[in-house]
Amino acid sequence: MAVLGIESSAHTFGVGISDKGKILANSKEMYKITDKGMIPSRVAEFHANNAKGVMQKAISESGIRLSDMEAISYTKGPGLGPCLRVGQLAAMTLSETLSVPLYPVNHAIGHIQITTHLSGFKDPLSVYVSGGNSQILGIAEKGFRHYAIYGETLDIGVGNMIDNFARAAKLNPAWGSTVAKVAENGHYMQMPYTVKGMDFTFTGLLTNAVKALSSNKVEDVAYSLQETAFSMIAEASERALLLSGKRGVILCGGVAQSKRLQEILASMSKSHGVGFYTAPNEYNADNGAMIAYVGELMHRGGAKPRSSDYAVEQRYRIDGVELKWL
Amino acid sequence: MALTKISEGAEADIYELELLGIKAVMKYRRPKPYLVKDIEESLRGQRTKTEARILSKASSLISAPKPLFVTKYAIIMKKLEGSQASKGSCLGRPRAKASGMALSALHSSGIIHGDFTTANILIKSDGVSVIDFGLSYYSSSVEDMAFDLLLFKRSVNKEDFHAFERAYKGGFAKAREVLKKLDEIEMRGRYQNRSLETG
Repeated sequence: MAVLGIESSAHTFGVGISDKGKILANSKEMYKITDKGMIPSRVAEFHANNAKGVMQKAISESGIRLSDMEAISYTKGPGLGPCLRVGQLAAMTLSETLSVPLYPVNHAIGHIQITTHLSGFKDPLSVYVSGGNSQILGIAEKGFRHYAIYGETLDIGVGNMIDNFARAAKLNPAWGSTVAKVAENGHYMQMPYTVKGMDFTFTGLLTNAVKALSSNKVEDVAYSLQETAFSMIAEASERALLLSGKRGVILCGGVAQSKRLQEILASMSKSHGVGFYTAPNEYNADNGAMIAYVGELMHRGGAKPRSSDYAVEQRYRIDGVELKWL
Repeated sequence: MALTKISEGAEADIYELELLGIKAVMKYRRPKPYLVKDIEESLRGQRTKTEARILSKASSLISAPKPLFVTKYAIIMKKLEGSQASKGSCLGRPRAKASGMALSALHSSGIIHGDFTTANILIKSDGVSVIDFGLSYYSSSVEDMAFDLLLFKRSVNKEDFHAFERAYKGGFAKAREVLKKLDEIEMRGRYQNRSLETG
């Protein structure tokens, strides 16, 4: 008996299957991003066209049957409305057809929980960095059991910042790994570095870097942008680590695939004698497995969603989610 | 000169020592080996320099540690008596008021504290002292000032913030503008529901 989870918050349509924390399948199709970024309705159409295929692939990968599912879960948010609705509809249909319970999952909790699970750490500090989000969190018990945000971006997510820069620099494909590649031969030049307590901002850095492109080598600008942004995240994380007293650090979300960011945070953690972990890339990129895994935690932990909880929510904040089931 | 480490902060270690019979503390910015040299240098060296400069100004305005001796990565300053107001605890109205007056004095001189939470407020018998100017800088921007208020607001209860706000308004000509900005920042979508409890 297992749980099937569907992820569709942004460019990835993913289906994962989790059986007592063991990931039996993790299939996905990714919308190809052009120089125009993502047009939500186009991406949603892409998801709708791929839903059935990805689902079938996941089932055959898992070696079990669709009728073996004891629950279905999907991403409720945060994400792009039209995209989220495709996953929600697919999940609702499955849950109806199989007559099994349905669980709406917070996307960020998906990333954090699957990484925590794979790390084996108990109650780590979580650094969650993706396109739209950049947050430093930990479980807190005050008021109610939830992920408290120690620090986060005050404007845009670090991933979108880097993608924006990549488009301005006319890099192709316009995303983080291309910027990282270009940055390899770069030299440092000073850029705006903004950490406010444990929060940080990226728009000043982006504007500065885009302007600097006209009179500097792209590799120097890319290198400096990346080092500055990651240093800000590391400094804020270090502060949160000392404040919270947590004894481990996990890094998750799409930008967690950056080797340089991994290296910086691993070194920071080591300097305080705490463990560091990041999951294999398939879990850092958006994926269905993490949604299946959290769906399973909710199912086994006795979560009881009300009918109003099933609506998708584009700005579904992680710190409002009560972790009764954890 | 015996050094005793009394605390380990996110970027600096604090030692206690006696200097010519004066009780002092030393704030030493640790190396950050995980950063590229230039960023590390600017974080450690530049911040130490800025902090020392701001401390000498701030300590002439309000009760704040006066720097006695500055090296490349360390500041030795006069030790202030008092106990740290820990986060979540009730500051009490008189202290909240004193904090409001202190911050308005700093802002009037263009000093942004940068980490104005109760963790950086020392309670003493006749008021408060403000410590840790590690993230401070000079600015006349209303938004920068509002962030000081935002951090403070998140670290105290409603009654204390109210007393703080009133004292702040009384001491500073631009206060109304800053409070308006604070409302605006809190209304920014991303933060409307941000949980204040991190303990």
